[in-house]
Amino acid sequence: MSDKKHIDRLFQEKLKNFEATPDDALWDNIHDRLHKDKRKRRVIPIWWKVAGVAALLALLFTVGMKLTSNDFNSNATNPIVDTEKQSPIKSNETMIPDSGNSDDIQNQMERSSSDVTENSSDSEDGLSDNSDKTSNNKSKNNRLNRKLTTTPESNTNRIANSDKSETKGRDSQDKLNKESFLNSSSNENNTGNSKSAVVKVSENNENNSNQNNLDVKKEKSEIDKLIKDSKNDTNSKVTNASEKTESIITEEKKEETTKETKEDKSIEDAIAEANTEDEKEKEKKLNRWNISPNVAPVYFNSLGKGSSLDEQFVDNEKSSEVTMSYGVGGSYAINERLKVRAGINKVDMGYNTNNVLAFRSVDPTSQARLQLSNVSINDDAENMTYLSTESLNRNITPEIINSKSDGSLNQRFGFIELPLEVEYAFINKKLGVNVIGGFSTLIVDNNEIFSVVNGTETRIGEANNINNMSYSANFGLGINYNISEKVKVNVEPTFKYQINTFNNSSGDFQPYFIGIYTGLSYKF
Amino acid sequence: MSLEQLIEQCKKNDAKAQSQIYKLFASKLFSLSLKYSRNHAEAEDNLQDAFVTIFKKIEQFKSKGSLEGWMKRIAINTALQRYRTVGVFNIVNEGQIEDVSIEIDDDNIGIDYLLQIIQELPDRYRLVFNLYALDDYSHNEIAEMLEISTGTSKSNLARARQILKDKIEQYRASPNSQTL
Repeated sequence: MSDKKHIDRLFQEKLKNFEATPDDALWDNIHDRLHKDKRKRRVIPIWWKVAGVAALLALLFTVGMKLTSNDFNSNATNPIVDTEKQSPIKSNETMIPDSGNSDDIQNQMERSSSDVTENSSDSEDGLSDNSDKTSNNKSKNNRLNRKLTTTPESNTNRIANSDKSETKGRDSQDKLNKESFLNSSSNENNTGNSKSAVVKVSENNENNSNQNNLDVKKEKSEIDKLIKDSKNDTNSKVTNASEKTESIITEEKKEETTKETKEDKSIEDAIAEANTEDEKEKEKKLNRWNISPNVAPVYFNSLGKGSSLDEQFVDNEKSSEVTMSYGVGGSYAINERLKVRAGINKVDMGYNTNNVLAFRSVDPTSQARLQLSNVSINDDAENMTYLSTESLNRNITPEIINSKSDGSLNQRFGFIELPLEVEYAFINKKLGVNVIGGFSTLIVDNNEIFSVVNGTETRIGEANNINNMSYSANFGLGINYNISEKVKVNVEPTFKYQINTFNNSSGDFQPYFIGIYTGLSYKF
Repeated sequence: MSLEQLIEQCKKNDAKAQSQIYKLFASKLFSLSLKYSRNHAEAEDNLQDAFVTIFKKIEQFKSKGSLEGWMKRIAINTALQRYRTVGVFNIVNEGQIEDVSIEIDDDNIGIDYLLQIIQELPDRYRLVFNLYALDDYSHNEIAEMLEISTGTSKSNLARARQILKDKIEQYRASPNSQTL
């Protein structure tokens, strides 16, 4: 088989010492692939602020959308509550089948009880008056009773009550005799309460009802008898007594029913409490989000003496134009006092450098010498020269220049501002006071420089030393006034110290702007 | 710095040490890649992938064996992986052929030409021929690596040899026409 090996061996021997050198660029590729992770990490710190703001905005909107949809749901239940107000008893009838909603039931209870107490207070007055009026009282009381009984009729619940009130009714008749001499007014008061209690109980006991219907009817008839007895009695004292007995009966009922309610509470209250807790939680959540459009007059200036345009203007008088900022912000309440806010604003600024001479230079060499260091001049303004009068010695400059009137350079620039701030409320009442701190990312969207001579403005170019992206440290004081539960008026004077806006500025140029941010904020 | 120290540094993902290792072994692994690939560009890709794998997995390298052997295995596996994912292993004719004895005179045939005809072989013939004839793998090992039977491996090797022999003889008959 030596032949067979021959061809293999040929290749083996020939290729044994074969070496080829790969392209040098190959190592760079390999190196990049091995170390690209590190490079990525280096990039992150530069972008994290922007990314953070973007992420927060996205978060605000997505979660905000979810919450608004919840908000609609809760609104949907409210109209039913409104109808209750108009006719509480009807609403009892209608609402009770909807036993799942504990909140509604509670509302109904309160309303029906208040109805009853009204009636009872009427009857109280009657009782304390003379017997002439007692008949009126009777009728009122009857009405009361009817209400008591009618509501049970409409509600399947009352049965549970009636069970107890049956036995009690008998007991109470005995007691009635003994207790009939009790202070009628206090009894009356109690009846009011007790009736309301009964109503409550009847509502609470909805579920037990069906089995006990028969008992209830018996019970009713007993009560009715008592009532009739009392009515038939022409003697006013007796009527008083009967009324008292009624009240006592109802009191008895109340006692029983309260016992009952206590027992029932164990379950029902637990459910109700749980529901109300949920409700509370919802309410809190519902109010966490805020959206607030705002507008502000803005005043731009520098803390130190300096110029962003050119060294020669450091000592010149400067003045700021009052410009506008407008935008919209959103906030999320971490707790009652602390809010995180973000937003987007458009802000424009105007800044004048005064005492500047502008003249057309004939000599191109001098023009080159006098160019402004931080301004890219337009083509049509190329052979203009701008000089600070502060730097001129009037005695030695040519008459032509001295005779020229002073002009100014007007710098206008604008930013898209993305603030990210924290707001802490000192006072959190109808009138609120809070402090605001945070930072903004500023993205340049406008940059122009005009020369103003004798009132005529000429655009001469733009500043070449404004960074596309810069930041500001913000500190503000906010005052707000609650117009309604959901709407507030805000006024927030805010100081914003700009960081890294200009490179290569002259003198001690520390730009800042002040805005009086005014707006409405809407809670949802 | 000794090779062991370099390896230690490489385990810490040290770029300088990686560069040194690369310089030491790049040409050997590149020639290997050339033999296993269809062409120069593919060989470069293969070398790049192989070195990335080598430096990422260098922690797994035990100092018992030789680093060069370990790196070669990775380079070969990288090449095999390339054709495995492309799925070319099944393209070639599976017919079995007898392993004929192939004799050839060893005269002055250029390395470039030999490399060229290896690269021109169908993918699996090339891989089997490389593994068996040049890198001393057994048919059993090759069968496992390429997920084929040993019979197929043997048959592929025989076909590869036949093709190579034919090409060399053609070259001798008319050397001028084959200098392309």
